[in-house]
Amino acid sequence: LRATAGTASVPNWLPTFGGGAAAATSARAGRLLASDDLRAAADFSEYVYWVADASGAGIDLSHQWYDITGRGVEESLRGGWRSAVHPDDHRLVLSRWRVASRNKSNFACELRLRRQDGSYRWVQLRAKAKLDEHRQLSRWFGTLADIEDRKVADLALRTSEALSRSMLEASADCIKLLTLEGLIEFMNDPGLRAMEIDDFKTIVGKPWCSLWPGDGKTEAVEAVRKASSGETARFNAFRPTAHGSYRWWDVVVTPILGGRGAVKQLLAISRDTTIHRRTSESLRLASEQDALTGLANRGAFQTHLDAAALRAMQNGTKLGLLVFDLDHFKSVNDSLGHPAGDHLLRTFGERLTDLSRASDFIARLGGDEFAVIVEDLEQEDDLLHAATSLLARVRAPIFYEGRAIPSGASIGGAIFPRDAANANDLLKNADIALYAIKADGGDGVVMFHQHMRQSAQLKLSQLSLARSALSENRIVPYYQPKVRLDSGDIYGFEALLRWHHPGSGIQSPDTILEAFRDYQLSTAIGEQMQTAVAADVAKWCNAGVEFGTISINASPSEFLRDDYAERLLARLAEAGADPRRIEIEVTEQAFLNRASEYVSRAIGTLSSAGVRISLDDFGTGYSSLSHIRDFPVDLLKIDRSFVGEIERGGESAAIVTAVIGLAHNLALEVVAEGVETVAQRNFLSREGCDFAQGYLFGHAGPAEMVPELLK
Amino acid sequence: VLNKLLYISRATPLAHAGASEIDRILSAARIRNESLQVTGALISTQDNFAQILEGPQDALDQLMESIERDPRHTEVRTLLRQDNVLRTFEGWHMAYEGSSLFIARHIRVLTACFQAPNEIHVTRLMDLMASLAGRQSNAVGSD
Repeated sequence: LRATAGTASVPNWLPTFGGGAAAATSARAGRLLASDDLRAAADFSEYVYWVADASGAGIDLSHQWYDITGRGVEESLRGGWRSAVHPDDHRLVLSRWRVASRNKSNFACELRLRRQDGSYRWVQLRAKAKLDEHRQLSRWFGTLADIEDRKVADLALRTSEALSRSMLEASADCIKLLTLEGLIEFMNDPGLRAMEIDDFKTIVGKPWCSLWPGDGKTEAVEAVRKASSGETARFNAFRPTAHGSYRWWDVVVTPILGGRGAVKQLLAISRDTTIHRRTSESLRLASEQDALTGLANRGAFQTHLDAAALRAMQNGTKLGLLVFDLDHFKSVNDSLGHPAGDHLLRTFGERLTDLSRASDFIARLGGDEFAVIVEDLEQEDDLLHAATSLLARVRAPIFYEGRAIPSGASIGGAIFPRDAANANDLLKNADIALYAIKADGGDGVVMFHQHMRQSAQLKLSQLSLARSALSENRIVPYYQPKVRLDSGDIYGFEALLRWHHPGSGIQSPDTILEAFRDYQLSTAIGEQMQTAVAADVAKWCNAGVEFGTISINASPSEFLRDDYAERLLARLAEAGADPRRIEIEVTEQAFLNRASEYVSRAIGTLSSAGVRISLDDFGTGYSSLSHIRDFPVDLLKIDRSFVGEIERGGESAAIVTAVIGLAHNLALEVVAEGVETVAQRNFLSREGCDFAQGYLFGHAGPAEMVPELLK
Repeated sequence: VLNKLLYISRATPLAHAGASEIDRILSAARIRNESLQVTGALISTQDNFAQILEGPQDALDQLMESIERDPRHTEVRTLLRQDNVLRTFEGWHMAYEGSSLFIARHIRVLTACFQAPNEIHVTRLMDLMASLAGRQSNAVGSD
């Protein structure tokens, strides 16, 4: 009750002292506060001074009381003061007073005093028991001191303690108080549960760091050191619980500062991040891992390549990149089904992993493309060597349900910084190299060279031409007559591929050569050709046009799937074309690639269906008489390169003669292509060649030309 | 006076329906041909038959009529008929049965075209059959 209200409006309590009270008391009071000085001091005091008789009835109150409570003298004296006490505090005050009265002792208590405005303030009541000469209680006197501020602060403290405690207990974190030395002083209950500690006594006073195994211990020691010096430390570490459960913890150690800002304790909060970590780990894996092979996916590869290029740049080292493409994936998928294709990819991925160095980074870029990042290349040649030996070992056949699937691959390589200035270009150039080897028939390794860029452009444009020709159905057969050399009659036609360019008209296949190396494109082009030829054949048959047989070229890549024959026969049947009207020209190369098993089955099937089989380009490249012996071939086709040189005599003429003789001895017929001169025709005729085609007999022309020629 | 003919035909799946199907054809043919005084030779490949028959015209007509009805082959195509010739085969022979591509080609070359059969190929097939039957007849004779 600080004397904030001043004193002017309130009668000085001293003159009133004893006002209405017994004279005897007055005398004593006078003795008590005798001097003016004392009165002035009391006047100035923050305390309420009071005097009461043994029954507790007020005898006198200093002016502060009246200021504070706003009560009058009559209301306050005798028992009136009680009405200013908070109802909840009456009992406390009374019981203290009674106890003190009985014991004739002093007492004190805290209570709320009602103020003039109706609000309450905490005050401390201190009462001194005054005994008379008979040791009987004669009077009480004492003070009321305003303790509101302290009380509020106390209360706040108590509330905050309760709150802290409830927070500690409600927290899922493991919260510890440590000494500066890192000894455990306190651990909250959830912490004990999280750590699966059955009894706090087993850890109290023990070094917190000793609870951590391995790396965690180092981190914990460091964190205690750091926090002791006033900084906050944080670390993530693995620590099994007391019962051995697997747990990851995110730990924060903060200093608790004492009064003068010195660190007096450490607060360690450990959060169990196991589930979060597991989730994020599986999320990370899912986002970085290729689900089929378990290798890094394209995204992770890109990140790693970027980082590796940066490292190489900073360290001045060389970085190698190899990109792989499986040569037979699509045909395996088409002919044996997706499970076989998946098996091929998985096994290939496993082999790559087994054969690479631990420091190499292996990824599946998608489809049948894989990549290996080789860091710290010592010599540029090392990459080629590594790739070559890798290829030699990954290409052992892969078995699926008892069948051997070819696992040949093509590899393109590029080196940073030699071939590219950044990770992006490095990948692009490795791809260009890969493309170059694929275009060369695949199954090999090629390192990027600047000159490849241009040819890659050309090839890409050919592929896109082919795709648009296909999608717009612009593939058309042109027919070139074949004649019997003995009679000069037309014996049939060869269907040659042309495509119609919207601006430039009819184009030769040279303009889309690249497409024939692409399995999917060549198959699609072949099918469009077959459909068109089948339709023409059916139309001519129905119209009674005697055109003989029509030969169709089959590119080696068309045999990469095992159903070439079935699809062709189905297409013929659909169009209503007689298979005996069809001749298939197969190059010897088809027998040489790994799908030769498919080629042989396809040829057998077609042959039995009445389709004639012609061995194209005979004598060029890698000829083997066993092909003639082992496959149901009906015709040999002498390549134009021999025919063109017939007139010069020499080897080519000798070869032509020999081939004709060989063919006849083997009951095969012979057709010579590229016949352009009468001399060539005469030579072939003399040697007994059965058929010929070439400009001498007619150029290739559209289907409408065929009936005209036969008239 | 003897007549002679050569036909080729295309085997149907029935021809190879069982392992003994060809044997059955053979034993029936032997008995019948002998009773009809017909000699000749037969080639059976994966996809085709070729047969040379020599005998009296009536007998050949009668045989061809039943041959053409035989469901074990189709597309029966007579490539050659000769009158007033001498017997070239002693008895009737199974000249060849198997999957030799070399022998198959001799027939296939005659099935392929949609024009008159090339005489050279007919002659080559006849020569082949004669030499195969000859070898076989020698072998049989030595038994």
